[in-house]
Amino acid sequence: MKPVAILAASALGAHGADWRGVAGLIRAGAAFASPCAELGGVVGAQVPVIPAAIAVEPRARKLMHRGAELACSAMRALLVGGVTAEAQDGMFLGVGASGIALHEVQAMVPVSFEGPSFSQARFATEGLLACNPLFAFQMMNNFTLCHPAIRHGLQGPNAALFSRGAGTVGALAEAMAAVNSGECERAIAGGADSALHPITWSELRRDRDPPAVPGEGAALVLLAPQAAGSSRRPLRDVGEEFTGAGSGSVGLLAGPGRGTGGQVMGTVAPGASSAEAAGLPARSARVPVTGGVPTASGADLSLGFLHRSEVRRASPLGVRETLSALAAFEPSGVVLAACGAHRMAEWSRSVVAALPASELLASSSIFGEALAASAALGLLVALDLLREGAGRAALVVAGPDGELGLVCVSRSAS
Amino acid sequence: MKRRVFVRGIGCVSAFGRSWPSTSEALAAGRVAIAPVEHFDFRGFPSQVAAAVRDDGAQPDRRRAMAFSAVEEAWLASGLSVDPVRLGVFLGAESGRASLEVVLRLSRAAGPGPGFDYDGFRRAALGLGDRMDATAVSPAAVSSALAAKFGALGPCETISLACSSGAAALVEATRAIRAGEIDAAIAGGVGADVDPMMLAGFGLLGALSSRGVSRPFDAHRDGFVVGEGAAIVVLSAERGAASVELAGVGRSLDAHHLTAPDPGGEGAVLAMSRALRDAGLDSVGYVQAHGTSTPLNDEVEAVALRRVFGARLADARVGSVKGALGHWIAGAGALGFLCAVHSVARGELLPTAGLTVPDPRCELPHVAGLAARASVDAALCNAFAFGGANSCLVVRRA
Repeated sequence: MKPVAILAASALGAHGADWRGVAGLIRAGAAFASPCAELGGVVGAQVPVIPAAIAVEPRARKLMHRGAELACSAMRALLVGGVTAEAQDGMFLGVGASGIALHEVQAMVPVSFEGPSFSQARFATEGLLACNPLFAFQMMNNFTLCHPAIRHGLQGPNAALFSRGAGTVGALAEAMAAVNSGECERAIAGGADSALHPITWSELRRDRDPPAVPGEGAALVLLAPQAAGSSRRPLRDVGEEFTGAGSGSVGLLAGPGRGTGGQVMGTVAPGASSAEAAGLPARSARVPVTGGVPTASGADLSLGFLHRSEVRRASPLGVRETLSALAAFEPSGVVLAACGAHRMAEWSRSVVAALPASELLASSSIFGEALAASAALGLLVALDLLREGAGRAALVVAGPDGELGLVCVSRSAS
Repeated sequence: MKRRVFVRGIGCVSAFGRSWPSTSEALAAGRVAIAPVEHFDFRGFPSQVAAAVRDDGAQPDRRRAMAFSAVEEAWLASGLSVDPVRLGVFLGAESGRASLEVVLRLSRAAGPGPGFDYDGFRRAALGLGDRMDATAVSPAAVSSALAAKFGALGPCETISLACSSGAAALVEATRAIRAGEIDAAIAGGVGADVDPMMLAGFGLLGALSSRGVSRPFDAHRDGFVVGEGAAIVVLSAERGAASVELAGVGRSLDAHHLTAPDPGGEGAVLAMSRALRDAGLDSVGYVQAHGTSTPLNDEVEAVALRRVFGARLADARVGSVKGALGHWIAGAGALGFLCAVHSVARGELLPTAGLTVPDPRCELPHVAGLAARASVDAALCNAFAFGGANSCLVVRRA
């Protein structure tokens, strides 16, 4: 398949709302996690206050789950720099299962009891009347895609791929195919999700040993045919200045090492399940991010080229094929977005063995485990490597459902 | 030149039975599977009927059990032997459900009153961890389990696009086969939404029929009825004995409203037109409509069909399976696709059950009552989702 041009990109993560410099943050051992009120104080990599320039207005936010809200803000960030959304643009997102709106359930429950016993009849009458009739909107996974599409008038081909990891790589693949086949001239692709939901976090905690550090975020890229990326212009900043995590951040990192020769940059600390348990690894530090709301420019701006995006089963054959494709691409930097410390360790070893001279960065060290957003945020770390001067960079995603994703980007189309 | 995509096998689990023949025979006879819900006390709910699949209730994930059964049927019928690396899985699915009991216990842990006791909730959630198994509730759990069971080592995708999910999964599978990424795919959709939270949610939206009757395009329709099941096909680049091919796919977004369709049907027109153009056709002999039985959606779909086909619509017949089997949500588009394939393969045009007084605003060449017989060279299947995501599929004689 032909490479496609990446015309613009945007990101929201625990570090803030820019993607430039994220590779440096990982190398520096930056940490942005802080206790989350929604999780009863569990440490999470939560997105700081979203700048007004890209925030969703409160009234609209009532209809959204967190993933949709983050997707809408990332969409506004993508467009705020001068790129305009066209009606025929496609949209392909990795999305999560947002979970039920807990405050709505909480409103239903007290009035649904008859004495000490739960009454389904009361639940069906008083219970339903007690909650917002629009709460069902917050339960729908595809609304992560539909909210931004409606707000920006997108009518093109689309898909919402469920993802706890590599599904977002599938969304990038679909977008790339849609652009290459001419089904749409441009496509917006990426992922948005939040693991900072009590039920989601409980599931993550159950799945992981050691427990995961939950995160959230959104990242989008605007893709176009190869020819659209023929010229390269400097990025320009727009929007307001802001910084990343607020005070009280605690570390996620076990400690950064050198980026090549077998050491992984940024390893998620085991046991970071609460503020007390996480502690502050000696070498971690809060590094404020200052910069513009994500950048974009005219339609002829090219941030790089997307060469391949593919998902395989993590079978022995699939692993071999992925590593073979990775090695054949010869990236100078590899970003690893693996769910869980075990997968992280396993894939760190595998990638280092396949590409001993490459720099290896663990994107979840600053973003936490952001589920459907993880691969999208990891892609922007890879783009940041291109921005720093790397000719080729790759993203490896190891998801919890036995899937394996590979995304390859480069500065040139060849 | 695009690779052709052939329909090699079909499988289905529905309220009528655990095979496509048992399902299609009941549909052809005009039977209706909608009945009062028995496995749960729905007294007082906005809707108390559904087209539920009877099972023993022992499965932690009903979606998986239904999908396995449907895939086994489709795979056996396909007669395929394919390199596992060249076999993909593409499934439309939404989340499974934690039990109502778990939801209630969590809710109570959040404390009474307007404040939300996050710490109490967190502790309760931890205590209930073994009942919130992500492998039973994750949308991706089903496709992942199917890939493992049937040895598919190619791409494995889960499309969560509400009512378009199943059709959109078929779109993705088609793209992957055409692109040469794989040679065959297990594709379709599954829905298991006869569930208290879903009935509460859709009831609150006012989307469900208060009379408990699904009657697409009828003058007295007042909402949809929830159904459930799995509809699966095996698609292949190798023709084998296939008599039908998936010839065209089209997708669009309404970009209009969270629940209401664009009144002019613009999004639906775009998706249908794109699918027809992809197939190189401008007419079909049968349309399996999305036809939910909701007042606005059916009317808009009728408008859109007339806009797309104009006078050529007179040569087609239109049916909606939701009159008999309700709305399968994530599985709906895939079930509709089976009906469209059936029309071409068997010359049997499945009817819209419950349609007795056609709404003049939905004037279409309906098939009502019993199935009609006709030689059909091509058929269209529509799937339109909450949020305005549309997926359309065109099949034709191979």
